[in-house]
Amino acid sequence: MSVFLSEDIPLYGQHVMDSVIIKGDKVYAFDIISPSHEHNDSSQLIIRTPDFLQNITSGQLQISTPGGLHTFLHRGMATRHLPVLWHGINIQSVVNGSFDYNLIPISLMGDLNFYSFGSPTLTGNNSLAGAITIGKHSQVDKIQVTTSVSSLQNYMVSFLTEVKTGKMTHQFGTSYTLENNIFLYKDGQDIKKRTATDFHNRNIIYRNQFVINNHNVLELDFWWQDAYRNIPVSITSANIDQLQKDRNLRINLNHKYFTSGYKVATSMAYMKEGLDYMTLSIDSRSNVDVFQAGIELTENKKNDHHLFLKYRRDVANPNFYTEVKDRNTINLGASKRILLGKNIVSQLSIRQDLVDNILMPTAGSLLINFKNTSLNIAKNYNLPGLNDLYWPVGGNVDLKTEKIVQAELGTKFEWKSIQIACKTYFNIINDWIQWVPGNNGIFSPVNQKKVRSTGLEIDGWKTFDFKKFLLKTSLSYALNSTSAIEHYTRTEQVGKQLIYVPMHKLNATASIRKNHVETTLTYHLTGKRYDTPDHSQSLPVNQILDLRVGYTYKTWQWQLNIFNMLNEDFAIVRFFPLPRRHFILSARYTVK
Amino acid sequence: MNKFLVVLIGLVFMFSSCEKDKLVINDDFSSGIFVVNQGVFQGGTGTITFRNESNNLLINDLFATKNSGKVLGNIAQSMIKFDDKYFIAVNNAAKIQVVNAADFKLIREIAIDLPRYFATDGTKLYVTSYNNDFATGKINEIDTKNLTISASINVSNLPENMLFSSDKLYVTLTSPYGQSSQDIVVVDTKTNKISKTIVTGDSPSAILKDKNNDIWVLCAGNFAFDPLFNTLGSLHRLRDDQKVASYTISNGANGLVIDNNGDRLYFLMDGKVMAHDITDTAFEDESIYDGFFYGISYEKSSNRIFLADAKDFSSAGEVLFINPETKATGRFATGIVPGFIYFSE
Repeated sequence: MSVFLSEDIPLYGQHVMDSVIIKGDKVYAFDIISPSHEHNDSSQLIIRTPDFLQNITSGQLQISTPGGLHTFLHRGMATRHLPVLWHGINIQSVVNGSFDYNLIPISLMGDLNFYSFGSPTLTGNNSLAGAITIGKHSQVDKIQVTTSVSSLQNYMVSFLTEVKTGKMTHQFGTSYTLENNIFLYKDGQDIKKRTATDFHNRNIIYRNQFVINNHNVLELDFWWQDAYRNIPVSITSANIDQLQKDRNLRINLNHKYFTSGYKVATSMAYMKEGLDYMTLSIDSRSNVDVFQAGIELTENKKNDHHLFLKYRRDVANPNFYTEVKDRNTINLGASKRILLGKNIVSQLSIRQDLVDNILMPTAGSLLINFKNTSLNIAKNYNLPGLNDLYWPVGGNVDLKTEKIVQAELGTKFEWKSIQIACKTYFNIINDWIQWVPGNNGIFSPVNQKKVRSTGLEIDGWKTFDFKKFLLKTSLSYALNSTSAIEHYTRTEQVGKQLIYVPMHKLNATASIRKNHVETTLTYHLTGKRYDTPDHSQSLPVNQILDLRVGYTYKTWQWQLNIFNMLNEDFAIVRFFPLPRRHFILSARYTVK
Repeated sequence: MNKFLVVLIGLVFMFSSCEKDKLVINDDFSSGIFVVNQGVFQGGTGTITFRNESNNLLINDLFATKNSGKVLGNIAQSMIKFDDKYFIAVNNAAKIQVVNAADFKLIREIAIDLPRYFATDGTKLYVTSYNNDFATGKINEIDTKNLTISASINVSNLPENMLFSSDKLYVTLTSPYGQSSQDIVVVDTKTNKISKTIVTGDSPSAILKDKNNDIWVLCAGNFAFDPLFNTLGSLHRLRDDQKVASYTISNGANGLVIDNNGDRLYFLMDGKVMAHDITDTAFEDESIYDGFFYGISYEKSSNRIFLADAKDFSSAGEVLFINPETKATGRFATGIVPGFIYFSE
């Protein structure tokens, strides 16, 4: 696997104008950590970010309904435990702790990477279950146009271009998606049609890299997003209009200064995040302004050490709070690479946060790499969201932070020409936050339980060369056990798998490439999931078979996806059916 | 033939002739205890738990069992028996499911926004409903022959429980969130028009009459956007449509029932089951049982209070029943979020 995001670091004294193009930063945090899953456009067109996440066996994509909220539960932990990093800034909502992966325009973002463990100390608080990073598109040609049409009456078109003018490189992109998500589903003996989502999602991105001289690089990244949709209700509810609007503006400016031994990076970011939700009786409007500034120092030659100081201010002004709420966070961190012996590299990191003038639990991690084996140990915490604290009826200002101690051991090896990767992990989360009904029937968040998440992940790949064609196969299995080991109020729930977390997951692919055509069959198996805490109800095992046929020739890349070929009726959330067999036809045209 | 082989063949025939016993439920559901379970909010389905104590029968999800797996719909609110049929208000599914009382098979669905509670005097049947703005509502008469809504009376605020008394229909109007209502409206059921409005306390929600035909109204108090502005609840006694006694109680009090003598009230408040004798001149703050319950009902024939325990509102619930005099208790499992208990005789 490639090292996380690459940068041609200009060395002192070298003329670098031609060699530095817009690529991601080589973030020290991930220097010896590789992504567990990378999005790569060259072999496969992925039109929707959730389709990328679907292939991550160690997680469970939570979909209430197509076009609705898409979140990701990794290794049994909650969606709030998985940060989504844009320029290293977590863009999850500080209000409700969630992020809708529908909203990432993957055709414009390109470098989307998933880390099953990552470097939580350097990522920040709430990095308990790995991390997702959104990078710049590093494989942009002169012009790239992508379009898709789906049998669900979903349409997408995106345009991305990169232009170099002297010392500047500009990337400009725009995308428009319309998702109707119209499909038939089975309700008892009847076949019915699902309500349209009418989901419009517009994005504009602009990136600029200005190589001032051999020592100085200035980068700007601008991302504007406007989305609105109707969210269908469950099939057990009467249809009502539920309109949601997502309005986001994100700007990041950073400056890098290179000396012979160090890179000094300073950055400033501003984000304006708006989320409106309306029905006939509800008019909820949330606005959050986020300011972040930081300075980072990285030793250049061997990535020996790294220091950072960051400040972030979140100002939330939703119309359902009684007053404006803010949060001020200062992070001070350091990381040191230590050679323990021949072939044994370790990285020790520490971070101390100050949040609203209160010292937070110290975070730390130790990563040890020996050839193809790595051991990660970390300690971190997660802050309650602003809704958890300040929701007008039921908010709990006395909530404690969630605290985690975690470890992961992984290794890769080859056996009979099969590449195999194994990981086992162990997480203990104290003071897990959960919304529960109080004595007055009103829901309120409490620190409810101590949770243990453990598991085993095995991935295997093998390529068969039949001379006339290549057959690539892979098999990925994840076993997870996540349950309360202590429950502060309901002891009968101790030992029970948390809801919506499957104990077993399996993904298998077989892909044949001949000439310009690649045909891939993917099998997804998701084990039984309980959807009541007492295990009185569960969702059945589902098995989904997808087919992808891709054709690449010169400047064109065509792809036909047939999802759910076996026409299964299934749901991830009860009474929210998902589409039966449907297809997406995509095309990309590039001008180099 | 080999003896062993003969035995083996015999065993094969013996076991192959046994069919797996199928659960055949032939009971008559014309009478018994019904628990209306709301189901998980927004995404689940309501269910009906049926209990027949004479043969110790307990059926969870009776509706699906008797209707080929069909689901009731989201948020089953209440039910009533009328004319050998059960009418089940399924609030968030915007319908009333009408089933045959004897076998619980579905007869028809009546479309109606957000139905809440029923009342009948034996000849007419009414149901309250909210409008989708959650600020206004309707009092609806049901045509019980054609199974349609035959008349609707628009009201401000949110109509909840009703009471037939002296040929009049009394309807509580509870407060929409962040607003205030103190009204009981009196409906002339001959004309389906509101003849009078009686002012009680903040957010009246439950109503019944005692052995003296005095009407008792329980008011929950208002819930405000900022909890600091919540108002207190109250209990009122009406005689000839006039308030003759009022008692201040806690915010959030709900679920008023009366015993079989018609002289002792029970309701839920502050995580307790409260009791109040109609002869008390002051509110004595007397509680007979501790615990947070989501619903309360009273079975006259057995002198038992039934309490619905929704637990964590996402797991199976429970009904606890107690004899208020002997304090003997019992319990049985229900579906998710039991909220309404109905005794059909």
